[in-house]
Amino acid sequence: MNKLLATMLTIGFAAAMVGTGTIAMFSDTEVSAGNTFTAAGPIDLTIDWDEYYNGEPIEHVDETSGPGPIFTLSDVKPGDYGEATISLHVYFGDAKVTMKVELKSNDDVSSTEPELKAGDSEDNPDDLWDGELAQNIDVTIWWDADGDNEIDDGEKIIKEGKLNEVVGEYLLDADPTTTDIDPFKECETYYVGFSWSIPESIPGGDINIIQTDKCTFDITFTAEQEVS
Amino acid sequence: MESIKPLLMSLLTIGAVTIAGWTGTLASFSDTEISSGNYLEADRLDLKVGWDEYYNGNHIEHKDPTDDPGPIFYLDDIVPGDYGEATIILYVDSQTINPLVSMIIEVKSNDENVATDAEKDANDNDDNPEDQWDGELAQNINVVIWYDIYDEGDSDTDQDGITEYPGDNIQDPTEPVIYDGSLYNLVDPTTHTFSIDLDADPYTQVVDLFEPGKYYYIGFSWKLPSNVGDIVQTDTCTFDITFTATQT
Repeated sequence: MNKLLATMLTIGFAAAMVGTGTIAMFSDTEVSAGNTFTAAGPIDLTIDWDEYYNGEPIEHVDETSGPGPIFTLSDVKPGDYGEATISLHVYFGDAKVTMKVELKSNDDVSSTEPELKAGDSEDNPDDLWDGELAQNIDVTIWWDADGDNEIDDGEKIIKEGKLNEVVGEYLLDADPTTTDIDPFKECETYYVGFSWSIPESIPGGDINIIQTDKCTFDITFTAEQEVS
Repeated sequence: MESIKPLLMSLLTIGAVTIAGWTGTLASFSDTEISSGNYLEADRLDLKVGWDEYYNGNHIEHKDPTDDPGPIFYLDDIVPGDYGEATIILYVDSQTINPLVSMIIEVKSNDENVATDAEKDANDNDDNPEDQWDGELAQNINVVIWYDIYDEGDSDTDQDGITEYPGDNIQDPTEPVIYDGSLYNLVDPTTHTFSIDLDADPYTQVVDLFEPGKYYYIGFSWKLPSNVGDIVQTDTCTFDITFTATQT
């Protein structure tokens, strides 16, 4: 308790400095030097993933604190599909974990003749949001309980819709079988699946409208120490 | 030291307030991993059509593969004995897609236009202005459609000393023929259409898909026999040729 008090004092003085103009009366100083706190260790979040494209495994990335992009797919076409199951680990304490999906661009890039025939406008090189790809990629984000890269019966869907509709921040539930949102336990492995597919056709439309379009997006996981 | 207690207490309070002010950002330890730069980029599939055309042995038109081909054949006043040929160039613009390419020929009309005296002497009826199908030209134009793909690998020099190559507008005997007969008989009598999935390699048993970035050649030659007679005078036949590339 003494040590804690001392630290509070230090913080308190720092705060009081701001107010010295009004509290400049009596003063006394007691120095308690050399106090040391060793923190329980900063919470550490790591991820790794396994990725498939059209049914074939294309990437495995080992546990890392500095993930690059998970999805880097050029030349996707109608009927293509893919999936990455991301595994999440927290260390040095239980944590509540959020997942944020953010669309950064949805660009037309260029216009082909079939694309224009499909009703698209000519690409505007200054506009990063004039594409139609994000509106036409179906995405499912789910709690891949067994980490097998497949949506199994009973596995909880976190969010599904077109890519431009699944943007948002989601508090992940370490145990979807309970009614509470459970925190991640340290040193356990949890899995979130992110699957995508491009339909072969657009009802009442022409899928050629997505030709050469490119969309970019960020996926951010944040672990925050669980205060009990 | 007694006197310092109230100060201590108040400092503690300030400290607590200050800490409370920080909770929004420093409630507890946290760690963030960002996977940025994810992207999905769609491929393209764009078929382009061009041709080289000859009429009575003279080169009359070259068209680079384009998205907007007009008519390939636009020939007025042909006479018995005339002949011509266009080798159609097909080009698929894509990064990765090998499409199925089909060709549909639709005869749109085979019209008498007007009946000349010479035509009537040749037992033709008077023109019916309401009828687009009362002509005799389509029945009398012979067309040959073939894969003008002579394989350079089998380098060969004909007796005439001309070395064959793909898309050379010459129908080599080894090149697979798609159709040889009258324009009239080419198409289905009710739909007036002829349809075929083109074969990127007609020397194999299956219909092979086209590869992007390569040129493929379809020869289309025609001839109005010199002995056709006067029955075709002033007749006009029109037809569309449609090429479609489809991702499979």
